Amino acid sequence: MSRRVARLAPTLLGLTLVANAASACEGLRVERAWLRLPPPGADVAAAYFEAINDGKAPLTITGVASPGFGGGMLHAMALVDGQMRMRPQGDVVLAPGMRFSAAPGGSHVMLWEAASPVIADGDYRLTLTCAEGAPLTVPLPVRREAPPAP
Amino acid sequence: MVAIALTICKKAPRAEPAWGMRVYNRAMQAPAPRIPWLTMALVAGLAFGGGIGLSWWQGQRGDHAAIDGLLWPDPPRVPAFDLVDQDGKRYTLDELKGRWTLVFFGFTHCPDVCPTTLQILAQVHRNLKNDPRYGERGQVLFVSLDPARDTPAQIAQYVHYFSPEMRGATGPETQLVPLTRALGVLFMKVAQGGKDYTVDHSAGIFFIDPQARLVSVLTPPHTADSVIARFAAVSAFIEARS
Repeated sequence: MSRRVARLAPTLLGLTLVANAASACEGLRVERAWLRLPPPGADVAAAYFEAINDGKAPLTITGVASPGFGGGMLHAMALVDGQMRMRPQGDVVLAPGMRFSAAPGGSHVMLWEAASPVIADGDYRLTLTCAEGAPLTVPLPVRREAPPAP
Repeated sequence: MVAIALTICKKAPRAEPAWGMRVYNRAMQAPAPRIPWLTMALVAGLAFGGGIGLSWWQGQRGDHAAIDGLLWPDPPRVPAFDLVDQDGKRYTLDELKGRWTLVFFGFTHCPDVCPTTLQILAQVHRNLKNDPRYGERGQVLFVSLDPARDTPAQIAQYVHYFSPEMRGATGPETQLVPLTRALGVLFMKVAQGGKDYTVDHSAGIFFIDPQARLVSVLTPPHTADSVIARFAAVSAFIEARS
């Protein structure tokens, strides 16, 4: 079941995910996922999340997407000589117990080609693709600023 | 020079080491000449000509944004420029005179750093309104380095999202290049495949005093509290000197 979902993922994501969440991205827990309400006129949006590997084996996040957007990519920000440079993050490998944090001013999910402008009370989801197991989809609430620290 | 930087950094409640300190350390860690008098001469040179030396050094590096909390003994004056503001009106050097300005350079199609920083600056602006040094005449300015995509109308809706009082401006590259070069702001278009591109840019917050001089650059990560604290230290220092 989970393999089939993985193969059909691009079309099924956002429709059937919750049912499959138990085995998705084996051992990956996602917290504090949110979508920054883009300022008017911006044609790109940023989403953030924290991912924790609760499993016993290493886990690799290979991709990010959000239904309703044409594309998504995990970006890393690097400060080079005082200049912010945004570059693809590449795969994120999480050893057991490790946490990856995408937060404002650092790594973020860049989403582009929104099917319709992002609205504050819209229903959005974040999908993480892993090298192991089916993709994992979590709710992606819209916020104007980061949620308070836990 | 170094002493000035250190004094100010002490005033500002920041945990990280001040860049002025790091510059000083770096100079002192340069391969030491064997002859003591030469060392002495170097130290003396640093002490008396430090301002010039640092300016030269920064000029070579081309990015003042790396200097955190540094106050110039003779702060660089912002050169004349001719930009267009969010309402399509001319925005020139005159707009900087007689008021404190906190400037951020970026572009509206910037998903993360720009909204994060402008949100902080909007909060800083709200809080500083009660500060007599900033008061009603203080301003927060967003300069777009992407004039091809950022029209005044685009900039207007963008900055007003953060604060109805935030100013925005841009201009042709013939205006942006000399201005950013004078302030030590680097920017560069970077292709992302197809027609898409991103803009690498300095992420510092640039403090311009009422005499239109660049007096300090705050490097990220920014928080509203750190910007406000730095403003208090810098403006008090400038006021005491003038």
